[in-house]
Amino acid sequence: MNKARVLLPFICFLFLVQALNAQPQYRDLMWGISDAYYGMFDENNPYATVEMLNHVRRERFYLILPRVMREHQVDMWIHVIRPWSWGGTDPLRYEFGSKSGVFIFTDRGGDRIERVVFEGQVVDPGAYDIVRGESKFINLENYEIMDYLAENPGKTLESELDFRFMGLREFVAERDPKRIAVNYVESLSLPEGSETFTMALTDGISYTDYIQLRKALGEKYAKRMVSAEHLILDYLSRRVASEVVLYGISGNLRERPRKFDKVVPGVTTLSEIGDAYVLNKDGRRITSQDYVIQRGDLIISWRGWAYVLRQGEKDIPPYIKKFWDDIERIRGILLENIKVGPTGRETVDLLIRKLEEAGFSHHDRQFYDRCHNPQKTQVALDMHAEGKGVLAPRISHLGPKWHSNINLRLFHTFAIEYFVFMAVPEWAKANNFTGQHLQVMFHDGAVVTGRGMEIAYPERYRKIQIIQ
Amino acid sequence: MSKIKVKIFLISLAVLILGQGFFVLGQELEADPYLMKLIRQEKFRVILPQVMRENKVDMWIYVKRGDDPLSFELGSDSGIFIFTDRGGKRIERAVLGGRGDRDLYDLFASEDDLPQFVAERDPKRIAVNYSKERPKLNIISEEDFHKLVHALGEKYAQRVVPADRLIVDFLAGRTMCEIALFGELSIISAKAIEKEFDKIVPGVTKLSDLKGNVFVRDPDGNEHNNDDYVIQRGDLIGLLLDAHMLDFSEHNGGIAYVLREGETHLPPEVQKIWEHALTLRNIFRKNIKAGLTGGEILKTLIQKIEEAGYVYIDKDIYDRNADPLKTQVHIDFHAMGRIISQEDAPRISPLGPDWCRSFKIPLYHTFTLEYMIHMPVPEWGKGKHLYICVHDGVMVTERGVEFPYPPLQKIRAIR
Repeated sequence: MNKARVLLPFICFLFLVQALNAQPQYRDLMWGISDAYYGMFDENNPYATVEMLNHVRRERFYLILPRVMREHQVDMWIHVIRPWSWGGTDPLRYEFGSKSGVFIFTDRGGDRIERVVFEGQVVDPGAYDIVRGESKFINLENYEIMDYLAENPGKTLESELDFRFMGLREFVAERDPKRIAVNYVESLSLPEGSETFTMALTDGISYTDYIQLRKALGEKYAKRMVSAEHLILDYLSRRVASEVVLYGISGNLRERPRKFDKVVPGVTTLSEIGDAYVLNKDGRRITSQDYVIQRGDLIISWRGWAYVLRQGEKDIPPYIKKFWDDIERIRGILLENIKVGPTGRETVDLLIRKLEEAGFSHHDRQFYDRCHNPQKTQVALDMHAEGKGVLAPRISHLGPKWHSNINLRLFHTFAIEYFVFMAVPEWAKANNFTGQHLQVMFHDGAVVTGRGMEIAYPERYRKIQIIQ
Repeated sequence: MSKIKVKIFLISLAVLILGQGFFVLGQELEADPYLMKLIRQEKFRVILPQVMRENKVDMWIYVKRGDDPLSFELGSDSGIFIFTDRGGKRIERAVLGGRGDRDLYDLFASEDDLPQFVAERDPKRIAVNYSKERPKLNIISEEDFHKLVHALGEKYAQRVVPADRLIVDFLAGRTMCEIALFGELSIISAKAIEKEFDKIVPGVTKLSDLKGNVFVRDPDGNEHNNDDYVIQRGDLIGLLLDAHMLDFSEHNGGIAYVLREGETHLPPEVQKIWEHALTLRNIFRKNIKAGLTGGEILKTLIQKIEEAGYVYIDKDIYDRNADPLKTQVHIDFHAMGRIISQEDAPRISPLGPDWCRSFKIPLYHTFTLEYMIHMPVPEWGKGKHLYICVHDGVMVTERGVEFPYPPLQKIRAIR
């Protein structure tokens, strides 16, 4: 037994260590992919292994990079991530597998784009054609600059920053690009959005690096520099099949609808149910944990709804039934009208038109609006991108304009986030005519394919349960 | 805390952690009922209208009397399932004389209602689950068929056609939640293969000690397959292993080389055959498109393979009459993802009946890039060659072939 006592903790420890070391490369790069990316494509997904994450990068380089560079008429893309910020908030850390460096992608014709790490280290060198590594002169602290000066008598550089771009002019001249996209912003807003405010987005290069880069390129090529802002956003907003796989698996790991089978009217308390509140037969909201569930109560939680039938009732009351019928109709409108091609804005405008034609009232506030026609069920949409990358393209009026100006691309993964509000006249009198209503919010996942919108993983819940 | 509590805690913790480990590394996943239901719903919503319209069928009658190829999709084992295209984006789904999930089906009725049900909908082409060409798809019993024809009456009985092609298209269609599952199973299968290779001790391990389809071919092309052959240094081993969840299945291939004494890396000829594998992978990726038939794609691939300097062979056997300096390639890109739809499915291959090659490769088709390379090694003697089989799961999208998970990256060296 003593041996077992030693052996069992040892085995536990072994497994724990294995689990913790699952993604060391990416921990070093960022604390979980989700650290810099909105959504759930992160290290909590056991299938997001180093091999899978490297594979996604390579597939993106192979399938997406040539397309976006050609569509944006860019034949060279230079992306600089500052070394002293440890990758900071650069949105392409994962895409390039690095937290610092000078990355150069050149369209030299053919099916693929030449990928070069001009200066810097990467976690996945196999994704690149050339990895020159970190400049040995980059760090003043280890006196390597002295070596450079010893090897190059008479040559004095203004600062150690110059070393990262050494040889760049020759490299670029050999490829002679017509348009060189660089990671600075020209027309877009800086922050990614309210929920990923830490991202530098397309504005990654510092002023100092910009100056250094111009100098290194020389006048001829410096003149050809353009902002990479739209190229970067386009690159981030597109998906390959393996990203859909990870997105779907992440969704499959989410919680499932909860069941209320054990609720006994007149006996079970809210605290025994947990994480739920009640709307009673008069529409009054009850959150007290000591409250005992009564017949006629509507139990509402993040993972499901349930209605407790009154004596003699065979089905849910008509107003609750209408609410859930409306939800299904709204869902049907979303499923039928979201396609590859249009922008987020064009899509949301189409959805609003379809919703209103179907008798709903759309608004962009995520609460019940008393100014709207109380006879109409209200809908608010915020179907932002999800999974990995940025919140855009966003099928919503929320966020900066560019979020909704981006086109929905093949395999765009997004949150089916919508809110539904419906006034319940039956509850009006008991609530002093204050507009008591039913409301629900959904936040599930979808993918846009050539066939339209598809559901990526089981939804958190779609039906109301009935407690006899 | 008492000693007993500590013991219980430690044992529980160990069981919990070990259980998780085995779950991830195991090859059979427990089916999630919510995911299974979603797959059925999405197939009905996304695939069904498309395949019925492509096959010009406005009513599909499926008489089911037990387990058969559509048990999973229909979610039931008995009844008459009738799908009717009544216009609009969706297909009406009805069950007559059977049970079904009320979230999947729109209406339920008695079998006796069939004549009236059909007459009300007045279909022009009624597909019924029989086949004149494929035994596995000849599902309806003779008795049921006669009863059905009688119930339909002459007018509608004349409109009956076999549903075999429709069934194949329906089974071959993949929704995105299936793609995620396909990727997940592929990852598990790839991991399991590596685990099997970990077990190999040269001179000790027999092929039969390893799980899966394990094979070694000698330089003359003689194969040992899952037998008691003891793995030797210098062997190039192929291993195919599956992972599955209910009716969903994927199997991958791995390749390992057992280093000889003194070798630290793969010898040049083994490295060279792997380079051929990568060159061919690129040719396949570029030339497989959705919308063409398996037969049309096969023709193109043969042409591209030969333009690249290889000899195409329609059997997985080294051709001693071919140019002895040229590497030979055999392909069998069969469907994958659903166990049932691996045979009666679109296929880019010289194998199987012409019928399978006559199907168009649907968008998001999941299949295997399975190809066999026979590379002559002249310095070993006339006709001597190396052999590998590459077997990776892929899907075809608007952009061509995509890998939903990391394909085989190298020939693994076993010390």
